Amino acid sequence: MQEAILAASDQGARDHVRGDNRLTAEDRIHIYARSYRQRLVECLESEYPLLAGLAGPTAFQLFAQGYIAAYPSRSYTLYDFGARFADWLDAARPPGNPQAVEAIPGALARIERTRAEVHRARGVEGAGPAWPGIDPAIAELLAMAGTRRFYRPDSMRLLALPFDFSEMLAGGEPIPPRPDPTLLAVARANYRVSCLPLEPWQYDWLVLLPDDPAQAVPADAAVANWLPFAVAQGLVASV
Amino acid sequence: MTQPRLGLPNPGDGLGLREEHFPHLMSTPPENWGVDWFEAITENLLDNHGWGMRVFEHVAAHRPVVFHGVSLSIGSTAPLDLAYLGKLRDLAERFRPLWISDHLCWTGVQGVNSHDLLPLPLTEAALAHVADRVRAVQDFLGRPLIVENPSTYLEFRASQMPEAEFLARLCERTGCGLLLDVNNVHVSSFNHALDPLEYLDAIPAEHVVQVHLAGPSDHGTHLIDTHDAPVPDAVWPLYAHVWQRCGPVATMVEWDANIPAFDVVAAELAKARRVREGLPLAA
Ligand SMILES: [Fe+2]
Repeated sequence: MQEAILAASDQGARDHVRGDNRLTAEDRIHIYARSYRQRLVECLESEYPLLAGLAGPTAFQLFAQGYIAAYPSRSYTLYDFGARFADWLDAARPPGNPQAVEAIPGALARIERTRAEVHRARGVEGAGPAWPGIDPAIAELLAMAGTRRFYRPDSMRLLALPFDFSEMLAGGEPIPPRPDPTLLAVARANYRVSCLPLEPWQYDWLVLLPDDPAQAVPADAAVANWLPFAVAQGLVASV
Repeated sequence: MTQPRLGLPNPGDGLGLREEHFPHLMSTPPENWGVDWFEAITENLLDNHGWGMRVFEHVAAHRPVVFHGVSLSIGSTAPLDLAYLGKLRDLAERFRPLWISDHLCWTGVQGVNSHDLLPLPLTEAALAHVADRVRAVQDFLGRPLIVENPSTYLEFRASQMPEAEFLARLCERTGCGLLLDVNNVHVSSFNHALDPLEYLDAIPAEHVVQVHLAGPSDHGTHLIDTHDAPVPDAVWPLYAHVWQRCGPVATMVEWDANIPAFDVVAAELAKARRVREGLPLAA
């Protein structure tokens, strides 16, 4: 029966399933086959709304159906289903120029998947202030001056992309990206997920920062001015 | 002699916790929610360290909660997913839900999850198989499993008994509870030209721990369990019948697509009370 649903095939339907004058055995299997596909397409649409908007319904359906056939869900949760969509889109396009128009879907899908993961990742909300009772801004300054050490929370992910999607990300409208390489942090602060463009030195510093608090390193003097912003946006957390 | 509801409590009238209602719940004092308890989809909580979990913590701090799963796949021939069950047990230890439910169905084999509630051939062999698995899950979780009747769109030629009899015998063999989805009885009965009252009367009343109500979509030749509409008129008399046989019992409205404002769903839930009191649906 699983094969019949996955492949929408009628083979042996009548041998196993009862039909009647309203619905044949095949009709009844098709109800399940249709809802199987529809559920997974809807899952991708809700996880990849910008890509769905930019690609339009016809192209997005093609992407989704190709992906569903290539990577049927193998997890107990639908949250895992879209995890390889960006990889699949990249593999499905003609190889070559990383800034070709065909490379846009994969790059955009990578941002949207990362946003979805960061939304559910272990974050730093509720960790509590390191200096209770002291104004947070002053506490942060104390931290900069002192021995405070920083690490990368799981709710912060780094992306290096061949396109600049900032217009689309700012307005949520499907505006095609510019072919400019971009460094992005997708981070969560107070349960809000944002995509923040990074300077190369900020990106490099974050890449080197460990994600294990026990391994945390002191802040470089060059990034000290930027740190209060980075902490407030959830890019880094302190031990 | 089994106690009513397997001895489990009746928390009253509940709603499913849905993301669309998070802003309402977080900005409204719990005393104004107007809902006695909440049902959370298990899979929405597992591995979730984000806002959804924060909201659930808040809700669980103020109301009884139950877990409702869709991925247990109790009818499958694939081995039970112990990683899933382990996480479920941890979650239950953390939040102490009144009970844990899932569906009489299978969701996939050979590692694939269709994320659908697929029907079983209702045979003696399937009954023995499902009973073994229900017992294994109950031993693992250390509590009765509450099994829900699904909406079905097909019946197998191989089936040897009606679904209600299958469930009744499953209860007898395993001591499991039932989540009686009255809308699903309506949907399946329509789709297979069966009598819903006959179905309900074959259900062992003292095993019914919870009731689901929902609105299906009408495709002319068949109904589909879409949870996207008010409870249809045909379901309310069935609910009244269930209440006569199994009440008082936890009652819940499911609304999962085209989800309206919290107050609209709560108003649908309030209709259940009017039906129990024999009042007309509209106030
Ligand atoms: Fe249900």
